[in-house]
Amino acid sequence: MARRVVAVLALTLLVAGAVWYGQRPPRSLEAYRVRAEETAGALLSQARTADLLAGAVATGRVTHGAAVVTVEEVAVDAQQTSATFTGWDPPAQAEGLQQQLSRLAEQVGASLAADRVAVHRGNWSSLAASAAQRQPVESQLTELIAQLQKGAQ
Amino acid sequence: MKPSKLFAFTLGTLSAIGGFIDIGDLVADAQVGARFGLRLAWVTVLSVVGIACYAEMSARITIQTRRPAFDLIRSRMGPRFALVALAGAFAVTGLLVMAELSGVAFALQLATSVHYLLWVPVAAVLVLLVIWLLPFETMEKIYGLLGLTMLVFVVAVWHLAPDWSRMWSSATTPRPVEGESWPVYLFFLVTLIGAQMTPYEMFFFSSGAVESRWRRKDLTVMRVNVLVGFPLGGLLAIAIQAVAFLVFFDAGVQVEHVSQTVLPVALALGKVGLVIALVGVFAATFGATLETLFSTGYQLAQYFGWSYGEVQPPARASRFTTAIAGMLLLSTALALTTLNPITVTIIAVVFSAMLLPLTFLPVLLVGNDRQVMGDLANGRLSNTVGTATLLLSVVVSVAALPLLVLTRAGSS
Repeated sequence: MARRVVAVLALTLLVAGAVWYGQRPPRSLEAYRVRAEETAGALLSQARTADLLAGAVATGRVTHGAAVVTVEEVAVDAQQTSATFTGWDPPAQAEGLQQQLSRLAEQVGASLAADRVAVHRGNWSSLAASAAQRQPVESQLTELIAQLQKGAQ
Repeated sequence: MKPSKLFAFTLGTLSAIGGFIDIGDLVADAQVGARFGLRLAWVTVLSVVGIACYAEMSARITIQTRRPAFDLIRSRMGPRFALVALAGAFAVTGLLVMAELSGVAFALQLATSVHYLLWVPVAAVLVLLVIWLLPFETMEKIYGLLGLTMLVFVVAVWHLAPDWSRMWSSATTPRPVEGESWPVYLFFLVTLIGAQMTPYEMFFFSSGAVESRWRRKDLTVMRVNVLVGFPLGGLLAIAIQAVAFLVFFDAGVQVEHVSQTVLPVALALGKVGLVIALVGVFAATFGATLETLFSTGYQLAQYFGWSYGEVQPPARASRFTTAIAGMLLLSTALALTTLNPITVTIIAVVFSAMLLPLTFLPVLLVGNDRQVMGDLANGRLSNTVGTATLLLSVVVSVAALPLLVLTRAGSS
């Protein structure tokens, strides 16, 4: 009986430890930079999915139903990605990184939210223009990822 | 060859192709293709060889003993071992039912733009009606044939005009791409194995063989179905990886949704291609919902010795039918909690990979037992491939949980 209790306790501790490891906020500068790189990668992915979709809509290759769903998903994802990142307190020496990435996240989020409103209003032609306007932000995100990867080496 | 036999070959093979792909493949293959190109395609080849070997072995055992896989696990390894296998397989398959049901709802959402949570109860009612009204074999053939529409991914590869030398170079470079670490590469290796060698496939395959009353004369048909169907299913999986590679890899897109899995098909083939892909996603996930659901019922019934089977009227297999209905209700409730089905799928396939040795070991032992199997016992090829697959599954099983935690489910 005692062995079973110990086994259950050990398993509970293991599961709790695993969950904590996955969810813990970044405390060190190094961990923060890793999470910043992941955040920038996720934002770039969301923006580029919207770009690909804008191209497909412009050439009539995707149904409006599927396009609405995809735009909604990337817009919600961008909001969540941004909220998660801004929710972490930056360690010392990372305030600059936090401000830079938060600004980019806000721009991507706003652009995708505008796309979401546009598709619900049936304003399909605005998607291509929106994708073109996002290019400078996407370039900055790409540069930031490269910088963070270089710094990690 | 008699026309009826040819028909059995064709339908069985088509069912195997359609049945190979489920929500786990749709998500894992697209994620892998977008992040690693074809650098993990070799894992799909290994998985196909492994699952084909064990499916053939378990069907041969069923033909000889007329007993399905879980029944054999209990009698061969004892009730304690079987209870551990039951608890693990039941929990993982239960999670997969929820994920597959959500997959059906995603396909309907993409077709209608109505939120998937509103489609989940509709999908559950549809599943219940199909189970209640359609005979086992008809059910299997319909979703197997409809699942063939997934071949649109293979056509999409051609239409995307790939650089074949780059594809080949990627497929023959079994290591992470620049910017990705070895632990993440290995995590996705585990994910692919979990998605493509699922224990529920084995339970369903062998229990289905009992339900369909396979005999020695069905051996050739069964072997052709396995040896042609599973490799073609693997080809579909590689095609999903390939289109994700061609469209998403250079753009740096990470796949998080089923809508992204089908986007390359739309880019390659337009609206018609997209609609065909959505029919394929619907059929593959609907079929897998039925398979996973039946597998949970089979596992419980075979462990506790209840009467079971889709071929029997529900009143004659009341506990089996109640277990299936209860699991469907539970999965529907779980899907409606707004838990992210994609995350659930990834976690379920990783845990599924952890359980593989518990499923493979008893099948290999019985397949080797000449007293039980007589002249249908494993030959040298079955034993070599079976043992290698078992060893691989043990390594994967041990590494799966640490990799899941260490990489935060492939995040970093």
